[in-house]
Amino acid sequence: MKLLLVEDNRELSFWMTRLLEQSAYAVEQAFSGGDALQLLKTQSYDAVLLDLTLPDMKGQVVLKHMRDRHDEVPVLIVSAQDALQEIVGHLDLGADDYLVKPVNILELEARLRSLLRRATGKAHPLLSCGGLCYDTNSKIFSSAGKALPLTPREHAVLEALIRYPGKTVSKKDLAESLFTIEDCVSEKALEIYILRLRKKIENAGARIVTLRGLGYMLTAYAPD
Amino acid sequence: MRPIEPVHLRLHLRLRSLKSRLAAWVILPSLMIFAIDLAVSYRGSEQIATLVQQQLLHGAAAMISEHLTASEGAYEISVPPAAFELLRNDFRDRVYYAIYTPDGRLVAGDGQLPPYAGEIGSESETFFLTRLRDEAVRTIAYAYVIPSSPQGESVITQVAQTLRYHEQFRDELLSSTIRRHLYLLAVTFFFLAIAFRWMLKPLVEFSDTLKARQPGSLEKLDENDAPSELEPVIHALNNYAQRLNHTLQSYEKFVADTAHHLRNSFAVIGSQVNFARRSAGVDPAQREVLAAIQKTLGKCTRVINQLLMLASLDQRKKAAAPTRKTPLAAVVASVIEELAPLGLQKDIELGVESLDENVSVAAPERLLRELLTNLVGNAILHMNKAGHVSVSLVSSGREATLTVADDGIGIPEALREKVFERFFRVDESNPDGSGLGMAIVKEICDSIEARVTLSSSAENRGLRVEVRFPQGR
Repeated sequence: MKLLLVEDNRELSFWMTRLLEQSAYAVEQAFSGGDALQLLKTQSYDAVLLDLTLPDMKGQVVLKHMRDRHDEVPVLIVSAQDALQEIVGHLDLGADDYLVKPVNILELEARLRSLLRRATGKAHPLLSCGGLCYDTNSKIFSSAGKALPLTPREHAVLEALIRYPGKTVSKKDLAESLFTIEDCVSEKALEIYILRLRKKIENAGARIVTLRGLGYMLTAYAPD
Repeated sequence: MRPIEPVHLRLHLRLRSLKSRLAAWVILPSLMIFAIDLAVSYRGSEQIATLVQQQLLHGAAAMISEHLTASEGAYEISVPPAAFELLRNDFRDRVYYAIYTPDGRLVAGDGQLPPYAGEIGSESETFFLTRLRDEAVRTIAYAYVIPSSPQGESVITQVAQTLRYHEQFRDELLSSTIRRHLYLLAVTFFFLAIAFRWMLKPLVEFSDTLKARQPGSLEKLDENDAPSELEPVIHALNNYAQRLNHTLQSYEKFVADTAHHLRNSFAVIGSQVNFARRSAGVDPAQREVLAAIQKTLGKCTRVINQLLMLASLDQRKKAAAPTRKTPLAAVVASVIEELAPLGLQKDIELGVESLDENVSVAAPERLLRELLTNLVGNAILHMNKAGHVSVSLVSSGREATLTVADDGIGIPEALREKVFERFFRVDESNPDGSGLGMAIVKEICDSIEARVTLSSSAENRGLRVEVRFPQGR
């Protein structure tokens, strides 16, 4: 995966590059809007990380130039500005996502992954949350390379959860995911499956959180 | 001297109004003229009334004297009733008369009138005031030479009259003058009041215009429509607004620049620490230090974000813009979702009691999200054991109530108002608190006209924060 990092702060650019390279991304740096547009003309990238405050032109202008010449590479804006109106404005201009500095590297990588997934137009075959992995092709959950033994019902519940890691899945939606197996799932039964699943993924670096009144949520969890 | 002061102060304050100043300068001279004229008229009325009485006395005295005849030391008189008719009136004035010879012998009349003692030329008269039977009387002494007497006998005729009619006449003259003055004053006041309204109308309209402006509006005022006296004021106001605008703009720029620099710096440090943490070959002690740095970094970032939030709220107060409505339930769910990992780390169960999906609040989503993040985050941070945090959102017609309740240690009642102050911390030893969370909550509530109150949950445990949003219209 090849990224273009447009960031005028050379120090930040340097360290972000090293970080991303650590995660096996190939990163090229541009320190101004002009540089970025020049590079984008000749090279092709999988995604662009774009700062908004650049010395020669605003990031918005770079974005507009890109979209005007039908360069549809995914753009993730990384900026120190957080006003909501601006976020909306940039998404209108054709940015794909937005992060406020200082960014959490895990968050950045997660957003990049989903950006790339969306861009390639197909779901990533491998879903993950913490140390828990799910191969959507083979339909196997694994942790640290070892497959997790799950009953079909537990499998259905966990699959519904891992498709939206970090997001709440309502009990109703979970019950619907079991619909192909059982006609009617009581809440009590659902609670029992969740309880069993919690035990099974205990050491996989992920947790199922109950958000009372809202539903369940799968989240990465690494005890310090 | 002390009791005088308030009076003096009140007078001073009253004269601060332009109306009273103007009124004072019109009314005080009018009253002064009134007073002087009154004194003058009193003297005038007295003079006129005296002259009239003197004329009558003279007439009476002359008429009586003309009926006197004398021959060889013997005097004869038949007093004409017409003489007394002259002096008769409705006020029952007493009338006395007496005729004395020059050597003091009573010829006719009333002995109560003593003979005239002063010098008096023949065929002349003099008037004087004296008292008879305990009442003031005006008296004429009239020296008369009897024309029919061969020796040229003369007498002094005195006629006296009490002052009842005189006084009444004088008072009537005076009161007509006073009435005239009062009419004049009334007319003056009436037109003065109209003039005030008319004159001060532009000023009142101007202040209404100022009042009607949006708080924080720095728009220029129109100088053309105003009366010329107001122009310098409007000019100064516009000038002030312009300078204020400039100050605000540079303040905004300063905040934005600070935000940019701080976040960039923290981004660099964050990347460096992350890089180090991920690099292989770090020993456990180093790993621990790096983890601690990252934790501190996270805390600093949060404080910086909170400070920037407060700064932007200060700005918002100065220039409140009408906002669209934001559905609140979605924000509640998403904030709880976001904070779930933090809750998990501290073994705190998050949940909602009831969530009215129809509640919308006229505030930007960013502010509502910040409000909830601070409320729920605060509840999690200040719980030092496993527990529960519950959010509920209910609507009751005129207002929607958002409640965040926990079963932690709570806040002593005496300190509940203080937590809204910036940097106030209930538990100084808790390393996670910045003392800004509740200040932000309060200021967001103020800026969107919501009310926030603290109480304790049931059984006097934990903290219960209620935010009431006005609804409807």
